[in-house]
Amino acid sequence: MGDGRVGGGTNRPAWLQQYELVGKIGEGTYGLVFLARLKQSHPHAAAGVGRRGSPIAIKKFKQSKEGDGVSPTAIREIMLLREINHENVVKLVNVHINHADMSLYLAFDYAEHDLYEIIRHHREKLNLPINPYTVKSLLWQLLNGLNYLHSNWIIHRDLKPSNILVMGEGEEHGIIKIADFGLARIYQAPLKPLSDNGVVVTIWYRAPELLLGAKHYTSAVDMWAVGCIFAELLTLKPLFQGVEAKATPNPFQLDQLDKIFKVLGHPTVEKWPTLANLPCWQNDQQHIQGHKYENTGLHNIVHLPQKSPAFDLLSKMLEYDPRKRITAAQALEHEYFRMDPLPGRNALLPSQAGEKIVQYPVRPVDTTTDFEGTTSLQPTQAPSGNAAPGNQSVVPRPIPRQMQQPMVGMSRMGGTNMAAFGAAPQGGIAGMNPGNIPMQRGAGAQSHPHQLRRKADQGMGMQNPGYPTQQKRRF
Amino acid sequence: MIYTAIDTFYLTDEQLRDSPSRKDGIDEATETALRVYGCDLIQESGILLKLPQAVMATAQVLFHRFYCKKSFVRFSVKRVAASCVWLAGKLEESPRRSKHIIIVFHRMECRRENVPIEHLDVFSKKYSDLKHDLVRTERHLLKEMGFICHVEHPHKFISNYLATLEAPELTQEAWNLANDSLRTTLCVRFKSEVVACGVVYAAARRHGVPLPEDPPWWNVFDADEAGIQEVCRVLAHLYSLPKSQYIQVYKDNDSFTHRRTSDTNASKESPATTVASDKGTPVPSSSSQEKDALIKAGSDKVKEKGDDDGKTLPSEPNGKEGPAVNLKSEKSESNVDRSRERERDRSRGRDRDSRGRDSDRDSKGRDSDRERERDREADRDRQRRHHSKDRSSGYSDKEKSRHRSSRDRGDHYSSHSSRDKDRHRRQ
Repeated sequence: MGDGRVGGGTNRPAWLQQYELVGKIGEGTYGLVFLARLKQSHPHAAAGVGRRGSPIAIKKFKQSKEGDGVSPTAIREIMLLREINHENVVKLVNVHINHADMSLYLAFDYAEHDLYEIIRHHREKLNLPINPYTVKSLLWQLLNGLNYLHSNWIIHRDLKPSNILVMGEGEEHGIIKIADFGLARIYQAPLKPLSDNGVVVTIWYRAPELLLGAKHYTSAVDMWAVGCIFAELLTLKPLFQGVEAKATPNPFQLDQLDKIFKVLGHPTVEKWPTLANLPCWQNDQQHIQGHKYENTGLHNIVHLPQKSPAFDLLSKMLEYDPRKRITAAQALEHEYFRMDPLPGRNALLPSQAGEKIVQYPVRPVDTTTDFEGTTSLQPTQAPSGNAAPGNQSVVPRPIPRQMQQPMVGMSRMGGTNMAAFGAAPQGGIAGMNPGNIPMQRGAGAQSHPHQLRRKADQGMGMQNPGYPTQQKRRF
Repeated sequence: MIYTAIDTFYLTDEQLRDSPSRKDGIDEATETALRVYGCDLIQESGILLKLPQAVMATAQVLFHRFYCKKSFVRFSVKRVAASCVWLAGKLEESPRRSKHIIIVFHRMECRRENVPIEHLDVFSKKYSDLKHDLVRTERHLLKEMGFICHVEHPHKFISNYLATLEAPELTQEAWNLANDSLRTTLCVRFKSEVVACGVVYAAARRHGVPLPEDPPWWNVFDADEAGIQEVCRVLAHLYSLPKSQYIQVYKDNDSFTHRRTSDTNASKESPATTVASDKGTPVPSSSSQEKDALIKAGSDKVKEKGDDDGKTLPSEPNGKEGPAVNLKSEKSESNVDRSRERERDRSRGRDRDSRGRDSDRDSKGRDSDRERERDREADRDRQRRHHSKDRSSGYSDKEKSRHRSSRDRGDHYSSHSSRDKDRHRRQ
């Protein structure tokens, strides 16, 4: 099939004919996310490419007005996703280029849930903890996917609950999918220190070595984030909820470090020998080391017996020294996963025979936004029915990266996001389109400092003096 | 459009010979010259943009891969080179602004084609068209690569190999040869390890440094002798070529400057500028060749329905005989040599297909030796040096000549061979 030109408002490119569009389900700095279905008449649907009639999430990368062509983030995400293949990593079904506006569209297998919504549902609606089998299975699958990534020299660098998807229907019901590889890197032989990419990882899940300005870091930053997610699955609230200072180019974040030290106590050079080498540890000594912390203890937060395997695993994930921090491969061998209840492939099954499956909520679909991103009535785009096999509703949910902040805080950040769009060279949307979704969240504010920093890095004109080694291509 | 996954981008000799350019009537010599020319543009622009060498290396590999899938007739060598630099900058974490890419390529064209340097107004329609084309060509690059643009270069193996072989004095020479290899299609024919072993082998021969042969040292590095010999042959052939010039085979105007806005002007200027400028002579096409090209164009148009490059080739043949008699005869001789080489290539291909036996390998080695001798003789004849039977002496002469020329040249940004520029930068 070839690409068609979009002639009028009612015409669509040829590649879009295979999809039945449902509506907008989210947006981020790069563009919009749409829910769609493969039409059953399409030969690829019959051939089994993607689940027949099953939902597809189409993520749109719109070219910025600065005319920078295809964004490096999109290229990088596609390059990685096309080469990795694992049950616990999101599957990139197709890539489409729209010639009319040079937009780039990534089609993923749609996942109905994410950990953010699951945790929020338990916290605000059920007022019940997530059952131990589900917690263990979710963590087990997350570590399986992460071990696969790390074994292939890929650091994700943005692990957080909203980027951990969970399939809600079909034969993959209850399976975790790690998503959003916009910040991921191959780190076997990087051309530049990874710190040249600027600030990475959403702040609540950012490892202490990153907060202290480490020039070199490893996949251990992902394991710290997993530890934060593990604790959040247990307690239903973020473990280290710091406030990020946005304007500073310095990776140092005093409030986030303060939140960490309150729980885990002060790091010491005795326990973390390379701490003395971190730039911000030396520069900001009076801020950090002058503060006293009392009554610290991770056990006070997660309410686990300190001698339990779960507490031991969590402690090893939240080890200060990245060289001592447990790896994904080691975590999979931990005693926590060897004791009952054993983790399973379907994390959403009830832990008891008579218990009901939790019905996670239906997420809104905006059927008034057309595929080009403008708000207009689409009478032919009726929302899909909520009934689905397996007693599980089809729950659309936003895929884009989201900052998890209270609603009030988010509305304040809205202005910042709008202002930042103009500054960011890869800003996806010139202006925010107001949606009718009351729960709609703005673009992830976290990514703006990253983009601003990237722009600054360009101006530095940094070059390697010698010929560096190349990133290794994996066959 | 659904893209097929491309896990490894390596082609057979047959695939390279039947390239899209060949199907459009471009002969092998012209395609080779255009590949070298495009890589020269990439290398020079990278220096002007202050890019790390890794970006130019990646850009050249993407350039070669693209023209294994697309024809030089349908995609301008200049525009593709520019977009390769732009895309490689993104891939290798050294992005450059599109404005700077366009200005540098515009300036390079003024200099290379002896056009008075003009100011490129960023608010002009010309600039807007150039930018649009840069973005569009990038999209074609990504589409043809299937968005898999990982590139592995032989450079990363050279230091380790030479350290293992305890011959660090060869590093600079091998490095230079690896840079030059990027202007050939070695990167789409052999894995990086094989190219690395080939340039190490060539460097050792040039410097007269013995390396272990019992067992052969390259077996440890996952390379075979046939591949190494082919790397050496291709490099020798590259050095035998004259300085690459631009050859207008693209069906439209691909100029970065305001010249040649119509075919009439182009054909009118052609005889005058043949002598006065560095521009290459247009390739004469026979009527049957053109007819085939038109049929192919129609067929391609049907296949590539929806592709906005579906323009037809110009229907009017070029009425003028562009090249002079001398140039024609010289080209004819070159064609004869190349056809002979093609026959040898086919023979070697057949040998390669057969099962590897010691006698076959020895025979191949001897053939390669004879070929190298012929190449050296050709070099000596071309450079009119004194005849010498000593092989190392021949290499030594060439080496001395290269060093002298590089020392004499003071302008780093002239349009000289990237070989010299590379040496300047690395010294």
